[in-house]
Amino acid sequence: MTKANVWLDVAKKDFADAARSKMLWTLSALMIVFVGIASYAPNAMMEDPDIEAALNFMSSPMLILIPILAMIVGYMSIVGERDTGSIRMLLSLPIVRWEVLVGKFVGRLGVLTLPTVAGFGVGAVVMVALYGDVPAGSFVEFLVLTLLVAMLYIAIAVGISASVDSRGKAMGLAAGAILVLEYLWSAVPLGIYYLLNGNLTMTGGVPDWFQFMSFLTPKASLQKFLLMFFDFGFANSLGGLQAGSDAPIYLQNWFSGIVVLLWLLVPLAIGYVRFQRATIS
Amino acid sequence: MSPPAIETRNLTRQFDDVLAVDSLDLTVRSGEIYGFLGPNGAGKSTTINMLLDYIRPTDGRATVLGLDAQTDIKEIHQRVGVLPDDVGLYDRLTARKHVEFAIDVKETDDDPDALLERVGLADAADRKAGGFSKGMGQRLRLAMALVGDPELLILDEPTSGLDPNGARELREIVREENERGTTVFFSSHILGQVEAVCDRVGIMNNGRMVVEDTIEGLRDEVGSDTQLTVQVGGKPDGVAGQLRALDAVSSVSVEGSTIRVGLTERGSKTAVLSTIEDAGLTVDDFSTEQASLDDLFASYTSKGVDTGPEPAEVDA
Repeated sequence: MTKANVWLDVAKKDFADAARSKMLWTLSALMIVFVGIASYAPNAMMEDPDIEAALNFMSSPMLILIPILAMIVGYMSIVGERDTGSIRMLLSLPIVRWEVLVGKFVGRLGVLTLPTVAGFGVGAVVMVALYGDVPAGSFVEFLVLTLLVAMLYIAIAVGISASVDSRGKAMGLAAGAILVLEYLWSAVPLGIYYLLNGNLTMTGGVPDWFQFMSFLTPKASLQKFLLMFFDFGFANSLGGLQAGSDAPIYLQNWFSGIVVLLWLLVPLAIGYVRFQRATIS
Repeated sequence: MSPPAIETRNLTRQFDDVLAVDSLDLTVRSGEIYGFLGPNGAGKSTTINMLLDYIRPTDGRATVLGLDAQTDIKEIHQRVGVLPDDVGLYDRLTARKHVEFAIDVKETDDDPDALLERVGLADAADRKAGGFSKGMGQRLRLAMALVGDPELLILDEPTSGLDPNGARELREIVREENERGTTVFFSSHILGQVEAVCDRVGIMNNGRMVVEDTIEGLRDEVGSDTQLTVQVGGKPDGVAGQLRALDAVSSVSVEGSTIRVGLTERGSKTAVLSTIEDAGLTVDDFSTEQASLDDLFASYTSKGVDTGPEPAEVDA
């Protein structure tokens, strides 16, 4: 008889290994300092800050920080073990490759989740101290969004790590993914529009496909999908994501849920296929 | 009748232009200790890597404990203890954590401390593997391989990094495990490391099995000739004929004041020396040399060196 949930052993060991490294504690300290400062800053900067302002102030930098941290946490998860040869030890036990992949994904997700939750916890304390209240609803909603962004980017990072056979390639792909998905994506629909029309003057409004492309990144599709349930307390800034009732199916908010699911599964699936075929030496 | 512990048929692995393993037919019987020999780059590790599904064959097939090495991976690894070559440890985890991890994954009730004691690492149980010497790391890997009292132990170059004492302890553990019914498949590039424990050996070279036999069989093949070299004072003219006339002398050669005499098993050194002295020569010095299995190993594994390029070292 072989054990059914070996991936959980892999995840636990991976987390324990991270806890013994400086990674987990460095991340925790970073998160606590970051959320603490972000919660405090509006109080120092504004005359009469409210809690929503504090949350708003924190949201953008947090959503920039999380994908980068996720890549740092995840890009070496599997290729690193191929580098040191410890993957041969893992696979010499009754552990098959998909279990390594899933275990690593869950383990590294834990490594990023714990510091994030700790940071938000400290942020909540700071907010209560400064504003006498914590906007529990919005605060938790924003935490959920943050953790889901973390999850998608950990999936991308672990998928990359499973796909390549050297640290350098993993690092290049991780940096490239961040650059494209986080900073350059807006150029993609524009580029396609230019190729199709030879100019960038959008008379008669933005085409539907253009909107669809714009909301295709992990973060945008996640935000668009989550708008079905809550608005993180800052609905105004997200107005563009809310689909009208007459919009085509692929612009409906629920459709973004499918995109989110694909962002979770496709990188892991590609990683699995490539790792499964790999020669472990 | 148990299925063979390991069986390969026509097992082949091509790496680009290097044929690392060429149509290998290998059978390891249940219950035996099999020494898998060959120089570095002969294809031993590639073969073992195919048994463990680290590398897929380009042709042929392999079974382990009667199970398909490519499809029944989990089942095989549950029942087999493996010490892979060139395997990394988790620098930040202690020796005990490593063994506990293997116990968790295999769901066995082994006592990690007892296993560490067995491989001589009891004192280092709480030390992190990052600070281990190569030999200590190898002992820890062996402890992990022993988790779950496996039916088959696959040990790839297990003595590498061990000092002679460590290698002897390893052979003892191998023998103990075998007495408890475990089949042992043991690779090495040094015949001396496996000679003392193996029931049978197979010698690989350039991706092919060049000979497979029992140690006794190999010894018979070597024969038991002894080479006797005698330094004499004076010119040893004429004595060669007298020596050749002796019973059990297979060869005589004279070079200056040195006489070399090949003696078969029944030959007597004393008879040779007294014949030389009776011829009026003084024996200044003499030495004997036994033809060894190492010589045989060398003769098998050096074949083919001149006929083509050596396959590149494939540690994969």
